[in-house]
Amino acid sequence: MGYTDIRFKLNSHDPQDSLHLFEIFVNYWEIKPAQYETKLQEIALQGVRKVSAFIPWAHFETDLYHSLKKFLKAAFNARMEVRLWILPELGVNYPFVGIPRDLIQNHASIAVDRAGKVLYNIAAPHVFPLPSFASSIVSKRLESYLLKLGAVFQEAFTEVDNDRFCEAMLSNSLLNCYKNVGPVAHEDWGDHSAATVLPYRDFLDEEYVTPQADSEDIEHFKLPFYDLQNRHLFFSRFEKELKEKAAFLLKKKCPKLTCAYSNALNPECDPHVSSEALLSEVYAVKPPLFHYYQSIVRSSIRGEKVFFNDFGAFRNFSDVEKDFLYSSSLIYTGGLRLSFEEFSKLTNCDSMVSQTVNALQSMKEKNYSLLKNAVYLAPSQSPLTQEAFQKFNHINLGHFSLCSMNEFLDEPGDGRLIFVDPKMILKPSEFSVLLTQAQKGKTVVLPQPLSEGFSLRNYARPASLQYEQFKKMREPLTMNWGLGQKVYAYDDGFAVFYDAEIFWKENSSSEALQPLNGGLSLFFNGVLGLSEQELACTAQMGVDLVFYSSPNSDKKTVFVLNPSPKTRKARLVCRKPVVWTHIESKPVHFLEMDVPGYAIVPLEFIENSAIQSALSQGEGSSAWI
Amino acid sequence: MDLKHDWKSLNEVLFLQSGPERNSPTLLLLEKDPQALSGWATTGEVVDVQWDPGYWNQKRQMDQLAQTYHCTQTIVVQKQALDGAIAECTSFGSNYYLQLELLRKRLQTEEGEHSSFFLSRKHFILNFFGGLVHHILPKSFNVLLLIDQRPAHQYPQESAFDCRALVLTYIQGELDQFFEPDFSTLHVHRLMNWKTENEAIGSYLENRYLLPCYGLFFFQEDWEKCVSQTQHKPWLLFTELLRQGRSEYFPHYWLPKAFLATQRILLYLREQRKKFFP
Repeated sequence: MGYTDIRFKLNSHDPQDSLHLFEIFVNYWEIKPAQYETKLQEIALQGVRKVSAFIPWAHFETDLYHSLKKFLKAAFNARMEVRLWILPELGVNYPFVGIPRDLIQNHASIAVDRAGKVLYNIAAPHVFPLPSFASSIVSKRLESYLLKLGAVFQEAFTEVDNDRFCEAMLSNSLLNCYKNVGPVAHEDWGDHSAATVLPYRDFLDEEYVTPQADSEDIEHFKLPFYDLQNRHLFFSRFEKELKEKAAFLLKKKCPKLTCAYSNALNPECDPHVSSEALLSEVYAVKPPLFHYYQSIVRSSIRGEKVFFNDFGAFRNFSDVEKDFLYSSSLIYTGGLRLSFEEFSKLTNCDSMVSQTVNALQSMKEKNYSLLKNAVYLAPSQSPLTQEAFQKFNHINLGHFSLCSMNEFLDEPGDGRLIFVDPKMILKPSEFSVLLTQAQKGKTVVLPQPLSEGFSLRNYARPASLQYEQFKKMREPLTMNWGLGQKVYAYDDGFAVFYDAEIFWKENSSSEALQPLNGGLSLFFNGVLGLSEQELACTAQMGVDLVFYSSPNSDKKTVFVLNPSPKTRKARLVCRKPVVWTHIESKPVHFLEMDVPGYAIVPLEFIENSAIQSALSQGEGSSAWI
Repeated sequence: MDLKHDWKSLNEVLFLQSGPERNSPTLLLLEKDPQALSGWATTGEVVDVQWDPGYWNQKRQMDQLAQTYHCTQTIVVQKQALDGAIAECTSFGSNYYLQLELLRKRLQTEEGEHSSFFLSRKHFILNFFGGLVHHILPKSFNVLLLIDQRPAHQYPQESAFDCRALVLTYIQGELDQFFEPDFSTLHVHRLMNWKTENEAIGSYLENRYLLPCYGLFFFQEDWEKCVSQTQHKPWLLFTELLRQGRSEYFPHYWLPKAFLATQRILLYLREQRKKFFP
């Protein structure tokens, strides 16, 4: 039965369009090379024109049958595009997720945390220690693999005389999993193996060197107190360089290969979830759906692509629960990535997935996109100040991006509100870029330099001088938001400097920061209002709202998600009266509805200044039908 | 481990070391004392991670927490044990099945001083003594459960004798302690002949632990049948076993007699019902 019959049929729309929401994975190493074309033609019959595949490193190295080249040629013959994930990803169904076994068994090349404990992958396909990519053994082997891979791409492209059907996806998602299971203190996150000692030392020697910096300034930021920030910056830099090096090596052998950068995550491999998934397998109980859901939300914030496998604890969910997670992935990350076998099971046109796909496709045609206008900046993709991040998250749930400073400097993006983590160390280049963003009409919120009496610094000296010069040229506006902030206005944007001293104090534990909670909420609400990025409506705890909007339209769509098994009464409170299309004909401040368990309800509403001015003039609701 | 909370014995004696019940709503908690790390209920309800850690020695709290999330059993796992088991299971290479088997074995048995696995679920003995009956029982008391490992036909032969025993200490209706009793100064002859010496065993325990004691005695095969029964049926079965002389209890005063008499009446009514309404 072809997909055009019932699956994702969109009335008069071309069903082909909806398939852009899917990324279909094929484990080519599980299929005999002689059957590649048959399999790909079977996939093509479903209307799929692009497939993805992970490349198991160890399989490639030992592949006597040249499976990868045959797969590429078969894909070309089947007129399909191919996206290949080059670097190892957790959750791939291959022993050691494709990492060569001898690297795993070599103790010198294993990643360890700060306490010296080995870092493990504990999700399916099985438990194994993670290698350290800083190790010279691993690094050299990886280089050799990438060069050979590039050569295979070149051969394949030459034989089919085409190089545009294949894309190499470079990711460093594996490095985001270098956390021991359970909540881990930030100091312990990441690879602290002996192999990282020299690279880290080199990083420290270079990081704070600027034309204006003096040696005292450079040496100051090498102090152990800044280890947290420096480690995170180092990991972020290392990840970026690894991806760039991978692209360089591939293109050395295959110059015309298209390389793209992205990150992927299987929720089961998320360190926050993997221990629970493992225990659910041990005790033969259902894994925690809510934590998988939270992992999807976190992936959305980090800009990761979520993919699902069907051989881990995930298989124990019921169809309804799987549908809910698939739909959440579609809504939060804009895509659903799964194996062809699982895709084939999505045949019910009344399922939640089908309905979500239809809704998203309709919105795409109206040029709607996920509302994500805020950016949280940190040294890496793990925030340094949990209190600030959680408060920010609570107010903006799912509607912001968590970005490392490295990425931000390369590509600032379109976020209208940029918030800098209170524990960032700002260098002159970063300070300049942030102020430039404020000049461009954005609201940039960053910590002000710590006071002179404070023993530590959060600004490099040249950046402090820049700040002093900046202050002299402007008068701050008076705002009372609870964090001692100074607001400087540009033509369209704002630069908001807040007092971050409390976050730097030695005893800044969660308990010590408790009194700040109210101040933080007030502060974040204030900056959201200043940047006009407040959410149109909020709901009580227990249901989540995800907004889609178009820049040229007053209409917005909100998905109401209930990630629990019980029906919940959702009370949506609107900042200003809105008209809920198909429900209410007049503007209302709130809407109540029952949301069944594991259900997603899409709603459309209109909010615009025309409604507000008419309301203020006392016009009746009939004007807005 | 604190002697007062011998989870290993509790699970082995009360639940016959059967491990968690499959397909039962379960609450799983992962702890790293003194921190609560994560928890979830298989019912799908969201668990607030802010429970008090150290629940491994508070069966009542575990049961209350399970009840809050509509679960029938709570499993608490210590992170140190999990980490150790993970490190050990990597020796099986890429064999996930063997890795899981090893994890199950490590996480369901006691190792060294601290148990890695705390399983709490309902049981007819716990339900009874923790229920309404505590209002007419003393404020604090012990309950002895003695399981004779011999086949019933070998009673009272000495050569085959072995037993498992568990003492449950209740204070104001709440299970406070559970441990294996110390019978070191009790002549083994008394234990072997528990049918006739049950009062003496009871006196011994009362002198040893300075609390009134109630005792139940079973053969292993009968105990397994009782455990597999549901609702009131274990007590009905116990009453039947008493009638057959295969089990025993103490003390023999009015209260237990009244309860057992009630059970006998229920048993009689059940038989009559079966006769007239097959």
